[in-house]
Amino acid sequence: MPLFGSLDVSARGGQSPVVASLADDTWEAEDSEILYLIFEYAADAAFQCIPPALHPALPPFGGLMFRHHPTSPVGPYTLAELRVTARAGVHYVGYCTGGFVDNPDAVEMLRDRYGWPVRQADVRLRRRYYGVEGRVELDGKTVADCRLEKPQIISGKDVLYTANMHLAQIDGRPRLAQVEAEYTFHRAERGAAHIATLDTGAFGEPRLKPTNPLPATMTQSTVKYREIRFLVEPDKPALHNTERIA
Amino acid sequence: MKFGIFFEISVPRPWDAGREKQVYDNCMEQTVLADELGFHSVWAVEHHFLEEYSHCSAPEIFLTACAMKTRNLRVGHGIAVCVPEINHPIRLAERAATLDLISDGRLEFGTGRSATWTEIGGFGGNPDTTKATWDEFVRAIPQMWMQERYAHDGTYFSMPERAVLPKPIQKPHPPLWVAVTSPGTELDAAERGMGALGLTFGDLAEQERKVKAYRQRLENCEPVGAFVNDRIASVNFLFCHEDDATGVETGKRLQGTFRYLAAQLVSAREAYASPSYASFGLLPQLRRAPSGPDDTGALPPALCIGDPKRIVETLKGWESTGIDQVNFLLNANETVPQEEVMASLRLFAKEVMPHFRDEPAAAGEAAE
Repeated sequence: MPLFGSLDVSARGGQSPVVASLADDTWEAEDSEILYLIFEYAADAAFQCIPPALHPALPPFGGLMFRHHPTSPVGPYTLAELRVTARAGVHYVGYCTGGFVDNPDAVEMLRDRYGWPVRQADVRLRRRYYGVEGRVELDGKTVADCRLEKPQIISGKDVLYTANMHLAQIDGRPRLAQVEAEYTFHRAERGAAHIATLDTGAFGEPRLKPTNPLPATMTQSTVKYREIRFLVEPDKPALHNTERIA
Repeated sequence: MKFGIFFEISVPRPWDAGREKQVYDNCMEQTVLADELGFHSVWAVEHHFLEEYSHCSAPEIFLTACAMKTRNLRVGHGIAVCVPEINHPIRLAERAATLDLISDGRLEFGTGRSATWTEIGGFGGNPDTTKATWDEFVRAIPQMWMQERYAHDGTYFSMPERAVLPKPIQKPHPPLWVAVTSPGTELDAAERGMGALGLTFGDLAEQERKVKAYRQRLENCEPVGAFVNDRIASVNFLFCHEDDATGVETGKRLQGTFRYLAAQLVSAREAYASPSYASFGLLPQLRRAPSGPDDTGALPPALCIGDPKRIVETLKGWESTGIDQVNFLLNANETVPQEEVMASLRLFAKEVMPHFRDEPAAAGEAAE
């Protein structure tokens, strides 16, 4: 049997978002931009950072993802999140350890409806002469500063984004909410990843140690966020402990 | 139609003392029995770092032992990885030729390029170039075997003129195959006059389309070797039992375990955005995309599980697609006890094999 994560859910659960009303509708964001910097993680620590419901990817990997949505139900926002790729049964997912959003209304929407473990900070995603810059400033301190350099056009078919898994308080107890989105790509680029600063502690998991960066991607797409369809017991294997709610 | 056995050599945790040894011993015991029962070939993968899924990183050594313990089974590299960071082409040629000598001319040489970031990344390989390195290797290796001395000035490797030794016993050289996982690779095989070693679990209609396209493309091929290997093989699970319900139940457990392990692998495309890996390779063909954490995907159609009657009917379907051989996965993570695997092989040989034209394997198939 594959390995399972060993995150202490009871300890972590208390810090997680409290979902007031699970997302039960869809919304779409045209002209969205997503920067994804992918890297491997030191294995033992990565295993400790995902819930026992999930299998770690081998080698453990994940990344820092920036999402800029010019439109949303609460207006434009830019999000930065740290992810650990995992398997829920045989389903590919990215467990989100934490993140930041620049729009306070978006923070509220994402926490209350999706269990997205985000806080407010200054999050920037912008094109520069060398490629793309992603940056997060929290209370005047830089907690993420990264670049995609020397971008080259690739096909959107070459890019794969997986669903998010969020540990949240749902109906008064910790559960994992699977957050799914559909992507229609209009443009995709790939380039070298350069990470000047990444405070994984600020993103909820100081134990995570990025190693071995892989090529980064930048895409323009229409993103359609779905209603929450699956809830998973975080401390039991996902295959047999998933509730379909939609 | 011929039948082979195909090993990933998956080893369940915990990997305590003796576990890996026991699994290897079990595979060897199955190989010896398969030889006695009249199977055509034994294939072993080359995989690296794939925890539990496959502990078969040195297949040429395992296959050498298979050759020493069998008389008729052909021994198949299924596959040798043609990525320079993993294998130098000279070493591939040398090891394969040695295996051909030791097996008395029973080598089938399968080639491929790996489908996982776990492996390619582990060796520092570049997913963007694996198709090109594979192409350069499969053109060079037959020349290394056939020419007394060989020199190469290529894109991904070069060598001054040297005698690559030993030379294989099969003349002009052993049959060449390509692992077919990504859609369209069967056409790559056909264009080069190589056999298509199918490693996915498609349905019959899909297989029939692939066979037709392969045969059409083969008509205008430019062989990389000295002859065309025009065979097509497919892979399937095998669990044969007198009681159909028991056979199906155990077979489902076998394929379910295999698919669960396969889903844990990190495909090249998942981690490394590259046009060279437009599909997941082996992984998606194992199942339709699961919709959620509680979904294992649909059962692949036309599996060789159940009683002999059901398996005969299933294989007649596969035979109708025009394939030449089916290679069977017999176990996954030791989920089926060894004695049941052995009994399944015996029953298959007794009740199923006679329904199919099956010529005994022999040395020197390259010259056919």
